Amino acid sequence: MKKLKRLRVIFLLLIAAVVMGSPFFWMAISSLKPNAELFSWPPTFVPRHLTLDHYTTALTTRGFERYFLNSAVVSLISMAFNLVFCSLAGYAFARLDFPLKNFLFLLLLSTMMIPVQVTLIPTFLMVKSFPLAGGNNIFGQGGTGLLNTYAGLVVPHIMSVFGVFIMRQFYMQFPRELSEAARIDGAREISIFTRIFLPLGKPAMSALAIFTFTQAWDDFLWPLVVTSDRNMRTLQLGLEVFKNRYTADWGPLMAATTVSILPVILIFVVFQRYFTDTALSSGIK
Amino acid sequence: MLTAFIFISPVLVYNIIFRIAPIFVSLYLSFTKFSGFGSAKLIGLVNYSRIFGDTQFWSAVLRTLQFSVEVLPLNMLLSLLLALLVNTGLKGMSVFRAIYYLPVVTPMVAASMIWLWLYDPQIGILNFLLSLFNIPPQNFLRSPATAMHSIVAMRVWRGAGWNMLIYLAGLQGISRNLYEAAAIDGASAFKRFLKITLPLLRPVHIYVLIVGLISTLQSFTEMYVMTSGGPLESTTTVGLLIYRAAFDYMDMGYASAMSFILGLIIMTLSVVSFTWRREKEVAE
Amino acid sequence: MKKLVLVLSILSLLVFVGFGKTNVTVWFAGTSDQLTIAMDDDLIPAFEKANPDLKLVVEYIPWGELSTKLTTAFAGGIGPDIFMHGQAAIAGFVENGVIRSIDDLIARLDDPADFGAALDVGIYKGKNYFVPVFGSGRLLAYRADFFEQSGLDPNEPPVTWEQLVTFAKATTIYDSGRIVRAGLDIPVTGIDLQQVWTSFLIENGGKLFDDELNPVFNSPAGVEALEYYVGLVREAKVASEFGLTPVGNLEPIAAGTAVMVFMNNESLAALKEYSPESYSKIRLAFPPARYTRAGFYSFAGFMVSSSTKNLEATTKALAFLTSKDSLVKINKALGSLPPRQSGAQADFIANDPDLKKFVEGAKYAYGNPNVPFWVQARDIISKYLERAVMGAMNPKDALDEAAKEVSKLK
Repeated sequence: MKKLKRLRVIFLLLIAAVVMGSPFFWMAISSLKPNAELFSWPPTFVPRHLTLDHYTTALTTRGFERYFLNSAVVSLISMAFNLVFCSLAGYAFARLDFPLKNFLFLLLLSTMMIPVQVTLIPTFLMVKSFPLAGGNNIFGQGGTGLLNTYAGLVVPHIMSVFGVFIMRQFYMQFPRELSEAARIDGAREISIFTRIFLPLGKPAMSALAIFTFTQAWDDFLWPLVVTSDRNMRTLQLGLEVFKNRYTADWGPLMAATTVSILPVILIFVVFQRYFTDTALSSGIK
Repeated sequence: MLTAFIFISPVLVYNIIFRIAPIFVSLYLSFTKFSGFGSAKLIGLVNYSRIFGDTQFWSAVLRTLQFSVEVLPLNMLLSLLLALLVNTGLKGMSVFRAIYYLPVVTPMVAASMIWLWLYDPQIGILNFLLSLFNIPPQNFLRSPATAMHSIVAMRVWRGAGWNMLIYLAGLQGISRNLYEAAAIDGASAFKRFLKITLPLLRPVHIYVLIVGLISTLQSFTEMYVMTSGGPLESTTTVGLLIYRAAFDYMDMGYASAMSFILGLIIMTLSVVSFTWRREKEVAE
Repeated sequence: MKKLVLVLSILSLLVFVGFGKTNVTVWFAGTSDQLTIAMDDDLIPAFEKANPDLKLVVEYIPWGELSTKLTTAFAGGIGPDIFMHGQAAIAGFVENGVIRSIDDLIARLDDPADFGAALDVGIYKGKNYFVPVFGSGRLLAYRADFFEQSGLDPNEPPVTWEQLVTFAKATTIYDSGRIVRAGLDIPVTGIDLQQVWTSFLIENGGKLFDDELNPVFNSPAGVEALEYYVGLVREAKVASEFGLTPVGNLEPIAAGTAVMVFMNNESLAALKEYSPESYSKIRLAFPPARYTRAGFYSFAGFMVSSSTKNLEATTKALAFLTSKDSLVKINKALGSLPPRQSGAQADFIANDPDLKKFVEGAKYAYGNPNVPFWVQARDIISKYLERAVMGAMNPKDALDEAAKEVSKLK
């Protein structure tokens, strides 16, 4: 790459990094400042005093590790489910023909168009009345169904329609000839998928993995509603411990927030390597 | 064909149970008076006729549409640019990608505090920067004229990293050979972008557009946290009205009715986008 | 064989004991760590020891999500036995059949007379539904150093409306027409606007609602109060028309962009931690009077669900949690104002001059009215107040329109 072009790119990268990243970095740096310096005016970018107090407070709050674990379990399970089922469905909608294809896809898409505030209670009731779970009889009466369980927590995140949507769009990018060629060669549909398109789908599946994990990790409303047992709480709920009615314990809150962001970034870093230039060397000879 | 149904049935069945069924329940609720407690009382079309006369609702619809119209192009542009930037083979790209993704995962409680500080008329950083250029301080979130635009900026900042990922995935799906062939033919970088990249990203554009429509038209968290719908209701979106009706005013029936009207609007716009884009595709 | 029998009998005994215990579910509003510790380590074990057949299941819900959580739980038939909410929510819950009256339970409480007038806060349509647990109040806070700088005596806070304006004018600093330091930091939007303005309404002898729940805030007293309030912003120009907001815990009075503000005790306590320098220069005063003084105080307290299964167990839990000892511990953990008169003498109050002042100020307290449509009414009132403050409507029209819309809610 030419030197000048490279410099220009680096310059742009840095500007964008400042704009996008400075709020987070300011918060991370502030989490190391003592309370009295947190909101000092003018604001300090290099802390005058450093303290790890907020981190100790945050990490030793009751249940913190438990909440962390719960969030991790829920997010990983959601991610796994979506990777398997959304890619299958997305592929089918993109590259297979079957009756009612467009209607079914629109039907699925339309489920995303009703705001969550009103579907919250019906969905909650459905989860609570899940038959033969949590003490329920076959009609879903008598117990608490999937409330306070990992299964209940993952309900809004798995088989995500957005996931199907993105896999579909991605798979639509490839030319028809690619599938045709394989079919002419006599391959079965399932092996066309597993041998050709699954590997090709890595960038989109990485995006899917990252965004499913993020959505599950960041979800606050559903875990609030579905758990009453403190041991099943997730991390976002855990952050509430630092908030009061009119104020917040910003020091520990910033520390806890910084810690809560790290796993998502970790997943991001792990999966984003599949975005490196995996050029599609054409399968059409 | 059987294979196709096997492929889609887990997703289909699951969504019918856990998404479509609750939506039908909400639809039923929209014909009732229901506080969330006790039982729902059927009242026919009363909620819907109330909506027709509700000027607050329709101003919110217009405002929400305006919000969408501002956010979507900015977001698509910014995320595409970021995706192009981090698609270069330079070392350290993963660091930059992660940084651009940070706003997406910063919890609202922290992001809102920081942006409230940024925008503060007395001690905010943006006004401080403006003062260096002798521009008088702006009341970003406090003045009805600028409040919504200020939230647009925050929303674009927050969402760019997300769509950057999508575009990145999409960019990987474009064959290198095409670029090389065009380069050999003497096409400039910009022309290659315009004639190869943009058109081949069309399925991705559709995704970003439709998902963006769905999400911006339902938005309420930013407005709730940053301005509570003010000042002078200039940031009151339909999502905010629905939330208030459902949980503050215990009027679940009305909230459901509003949601369905909103859902219809979203559906219409999405279908229009789909078919419009498809026509463009066919035309090319 | 013997061992097996022993194990089995122990197991069955445990199961029997487990089945024998009745659960009482209690939901607290607020998730602070201190509260959790006070409950988990102290109060819950104490209760269960005194009542071996009962188990206290406590959950902590963030304030902002109280309504959501309550609605979903009750809709699913798994609501708590006792739950906490603000006093303003009582009327709505009663009308929706969510809570039961506590009239027959008051005698079981620990020295009910000790609550004084605080216990009347929960009366709606002649019945009581609410036991107050902790309070929060607003008083006038002012910067003694800014007073001095402008030649005012820092030991003499304003006591009348006229003085409020004069002092504010004396301490406001402008820069090319813009307010750089506001003499008075008053809200111009939202719930805060309604709360602070209502103090002025009451100080002027007005009321929000009459006994038949009709809106009467547009009385001449109300219009005068709003004209005064709007005047602070638009004529005297001692308050910013765009309002000042805290950044995190940094209130404008601590940042030096305001001189006086009506502040609640939690925010003041946070300033102690986060801006100790400015905090040391802040003093507290009772709100100034027109005909009377008035400060907004609100109580959060316990209500009993009408679907509670074991009333006896629930009553015991209620009595325990609202006893003198428990309330002192809970309020100490939260740093809030105790509702009991005995609580006002507690050590943690005596040792904290701020809290002491807030407790004293309770004699001027007024709270949200018990009307079933309060949340909506409040939002409507706030909407029109905002228009008046921003100059989009004149005060009389604004209040009349608000009253009109609010009367439709009845």
